[in-house]
Amino acid sequence: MYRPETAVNSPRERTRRIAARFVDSQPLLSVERARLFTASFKTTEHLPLVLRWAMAVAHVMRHIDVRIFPDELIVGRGGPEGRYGILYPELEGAYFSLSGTLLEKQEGMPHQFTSDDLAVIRDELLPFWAGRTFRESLAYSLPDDLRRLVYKDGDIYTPSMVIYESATVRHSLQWVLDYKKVIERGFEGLHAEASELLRTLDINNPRHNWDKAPFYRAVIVICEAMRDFALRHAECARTMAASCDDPHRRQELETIADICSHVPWKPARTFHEALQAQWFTQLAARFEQMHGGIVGNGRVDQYLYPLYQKDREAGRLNEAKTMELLDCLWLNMAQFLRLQPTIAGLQIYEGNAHWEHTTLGGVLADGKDAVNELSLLVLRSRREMPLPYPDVCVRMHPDLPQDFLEEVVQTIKSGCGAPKFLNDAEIIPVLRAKGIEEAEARDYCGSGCSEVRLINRDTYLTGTTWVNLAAVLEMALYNGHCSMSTDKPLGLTTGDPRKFTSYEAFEEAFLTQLRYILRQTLKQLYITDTLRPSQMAAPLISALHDLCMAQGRDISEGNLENSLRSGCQVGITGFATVVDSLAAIRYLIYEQGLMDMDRLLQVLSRNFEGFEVERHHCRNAPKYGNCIAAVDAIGRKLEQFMVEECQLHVGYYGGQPQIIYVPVTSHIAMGRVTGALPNGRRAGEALSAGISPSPGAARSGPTAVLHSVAETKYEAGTARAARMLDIPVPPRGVDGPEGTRNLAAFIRVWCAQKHWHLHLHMEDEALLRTASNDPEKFRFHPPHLPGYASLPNDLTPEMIRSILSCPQNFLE
Amino acid sequence: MSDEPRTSTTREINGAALAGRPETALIFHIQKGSMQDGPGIRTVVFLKGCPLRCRWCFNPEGFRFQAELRFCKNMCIGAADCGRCLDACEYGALQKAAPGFGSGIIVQRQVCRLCGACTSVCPSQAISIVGEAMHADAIVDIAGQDRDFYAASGGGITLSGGEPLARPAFAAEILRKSQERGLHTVLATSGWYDMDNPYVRESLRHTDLVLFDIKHVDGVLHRQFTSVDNSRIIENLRRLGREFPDLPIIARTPVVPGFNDTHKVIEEIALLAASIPSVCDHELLPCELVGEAKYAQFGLPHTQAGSRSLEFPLLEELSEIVGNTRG
Repeated sequence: MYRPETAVNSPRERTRRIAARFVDSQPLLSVERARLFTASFKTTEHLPLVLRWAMAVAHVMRHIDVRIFPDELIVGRGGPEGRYGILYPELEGAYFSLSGTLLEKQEGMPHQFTSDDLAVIRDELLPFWAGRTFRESLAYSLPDDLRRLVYKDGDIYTPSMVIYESATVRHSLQWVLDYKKVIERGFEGLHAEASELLRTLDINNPRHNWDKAPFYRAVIVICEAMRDFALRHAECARTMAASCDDPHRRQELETIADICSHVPWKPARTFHEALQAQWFTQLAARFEQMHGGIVGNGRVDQYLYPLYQKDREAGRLNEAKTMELLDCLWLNMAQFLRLQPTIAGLQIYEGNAHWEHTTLGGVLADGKDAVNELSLLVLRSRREMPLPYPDVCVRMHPDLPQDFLEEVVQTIKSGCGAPKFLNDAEIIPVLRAKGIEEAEARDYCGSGCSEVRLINRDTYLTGTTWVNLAAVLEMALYNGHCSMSTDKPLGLTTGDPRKFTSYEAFEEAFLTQLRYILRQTLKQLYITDTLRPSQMAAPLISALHDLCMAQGRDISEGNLENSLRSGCQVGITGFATVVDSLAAIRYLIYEQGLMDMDRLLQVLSRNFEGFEVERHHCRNAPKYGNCIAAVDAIGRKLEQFMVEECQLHVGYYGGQPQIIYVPVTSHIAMGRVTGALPNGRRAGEALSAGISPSPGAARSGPTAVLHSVAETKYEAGTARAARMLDIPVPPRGVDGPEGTRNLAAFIRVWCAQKHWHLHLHMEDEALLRTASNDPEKFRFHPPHLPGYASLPNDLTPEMIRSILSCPQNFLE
Repeated sequence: MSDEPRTSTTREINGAALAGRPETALIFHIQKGSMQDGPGIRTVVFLKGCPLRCRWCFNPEGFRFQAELRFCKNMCIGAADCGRCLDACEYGALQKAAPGFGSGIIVQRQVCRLCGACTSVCPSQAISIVGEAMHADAIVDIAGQDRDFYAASGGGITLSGGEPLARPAFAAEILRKSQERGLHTVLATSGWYDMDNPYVRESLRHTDLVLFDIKHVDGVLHRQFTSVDNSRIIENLRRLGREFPDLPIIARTPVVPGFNDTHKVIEEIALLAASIPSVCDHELLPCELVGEAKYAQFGLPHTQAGSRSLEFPLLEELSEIVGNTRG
């Protein structure tokens, strides 16, 4: 029987011990960073924001509890023992001033507070932050009509789910740090650079004048704080070593002490030091800000490779030790959870989702394949990791070596949920179209869920705003009303659709609503862009950014010279749901005459209850994902409309907005409050995710899904980026070496068709059991057995057994 | 060992097939993206109709050469809330059952004329007609859509069934047209066909790989479990090896508990397969009871009768025997 890996299973003893210590712990939302950050912030109101932020982060790093736990080889954490999250009061902390929010365990929240924590929130955080948070600042900057679209009934802590701003549930979209700089130059190097730039400021040079002094001072403060933070760990390790009875552990602690007295201040000399420097840097980034998806690991197989190679050649490092050290790094990330204090953040990050996006493969600056020995080890460590960390992504390109690709496929087949793919064949040309040189574009890394970054060129950090495309469709159906509106319509008055005599008239009404909602979305993002420079600063990530250092500006100011011309991230949620709904309206009403608009509206308003016949008509209308030209054309037109609309606008940073299909969990949250739809979806059910077909709609197998998704892409458009695509794979359908090769071939076609992202998820028992309770979502199953003709609706218990059962050589 | 037509008559028939009016055949399923029916990623075309009745068959909708009504009880909305098929049927083939009787619809297949009136009003697709008359061109067009996947994986089109060579002229047309368009062709056959039929020979000429079922070496048992004797099948396998020596064959044996799942039987089958030089591989396929529900949907009395699923450990044991036999 095929089984995905179960918890705390690892070939490495140390990994098992560390993981076992925290997997079942109740996550705590730590207030330590908040308390220390606030204590500093209160005393620096006379200073420029970037310097205040640096001093506050430095204060955290000099005073936060420093402890080293048993078995750890990579040290440092941002909270208490076990699984923890960090509270950032400057974002939405005023929420706690509402009654009923200050409880040890709030209903519906995954985390808990201790009574001491609650006292800190009440007595130290709230008095300062109430009235100063970013959420409040944004909410009160929005014009009334827009505010109604963003927040429900004037409550700024409850999203309306028509358009969902995520700019105030996190500081930034997502980010990846330039770890290579830390490893090669150390913070000492950055400190020296900033000091020199500060020394050479010139009142007669408008490009290098004293307005930049606060930034360079902030960099200096941050660099010194990094040094001191590491030294505190060195001291802790040394003290622990002195009283350690176990000679083996004593030796380890002494090594840790040596490493922490050296990095990240000095350049790393060994692979172990490089990993420790990497972790300190990303940990500090967590103290500084919360990024969407937390903070990425970048191209680990590239920047860690030189020291890995050096250590291997010198005989200091073997494969087992490498794997153990990598595990220790991943385990540190696994203990951190994204804990959102309000429902707004929780809904979009269900399951405390976070992705330390870890990029492997891709090409080198000269276009040659970048895979090396370390790529393989990282891949293997992910496969053997007992927990779903880190989030590994392979940059696919036509020349990716077949043996590496087959290793990747075997890792996917193991059921560990990784890796996913980003496509060089699509992403590099898109970056080129935005004005990036070829060699630089080739160095992109994955970031967040399925987005990408050029870490010394990108500066756009405002969180995505998600648009509930299904709510927009409702506005066309209900003349401006949607499930979220109360008395006043949230959309435009486009007329009673019962009076429309053609599909084209309906489509026109829909596109009119969509244009309105997109413009409102862009307005909200633009306003947010303008507020960021006065609300937040990120001296650490700026110190590691070429453009920020050269120009003496914090990245939060956004509009830096020579930065990538990108702008507002408009996240489209429910693409397939709406394409299917439009196709159903055209098919049922205007082509087949199976019902009229009046009937459809009646049926939808009753959530199909008592209208089973109509619901089946809706469900069985043609669907996106099946290579049906007429349906795919609707999707194509919709994508083109949105991309072209974005191309008409220039963001505050001077770049074009971008249409992205990266739902995170917005499709669930938005679906929950969206009514029944013409595609047969009942009220409350999830919307479709990313650019993937609706659940249960792909009836023609995985190849047809790829064709349809490729068909909807507006290739000529420039205002576009990530398109998340998820395809389920029945384990039995890809068993043995033949299955591995076939899946690899499938991925090569995906690459050649120039898709952006791909996640192949192996079906597992839990998924199929759920599906058998909801057979409509599983009416069509991808092929998995030789000779078997899979007719619709054949998911019997025996079928589930068959899909999941695999011979012993399954993984090969 | 010529694979040329033997007489001028067959040449004429051949010519007619090449130039004549397009034929149709009933197709009961086209499966895209299959990774299990021959090399690479493939489109599998299932032709309806089979001369065999293997007890364990999981595609019973492939038995008959006629279109058939499929009724899925668990997809049916029911007579109370829908019942449109009852009104649509002019022949009384659909009847309302006594209350409390499942979906409340009873199918009287003996009076059904397959007019399709019920399927066109059925909103839930619980009633459908399985078996669509298709032209070879339309089929090859569909298969051609996944050309990129074939190129990357070494895949192509697989003709399956039913027994595809039960419609030899049609099979020949699909295979020839597929090859003309550069698609790799696989023919999956039970081995029960007329080796001398010119269209069969034409089919084989346009086939790149044959998946040939060998179910048992014992004729009596073979007849008992599949309804036909195996001598023709074995003879066809030998002739295939002789008369089309360059056409690679993969022998396939469905391993069915209680029928052929013993070391001895599998070894005998393996020896037979190994005696044909063009048999390049021999695969064992475990019997799976995934088609059980289908029988009732087509009004067939038994469900993969008396069969059990084969457990993997035994399959691996038997595969080893095949491996050892083949050397």
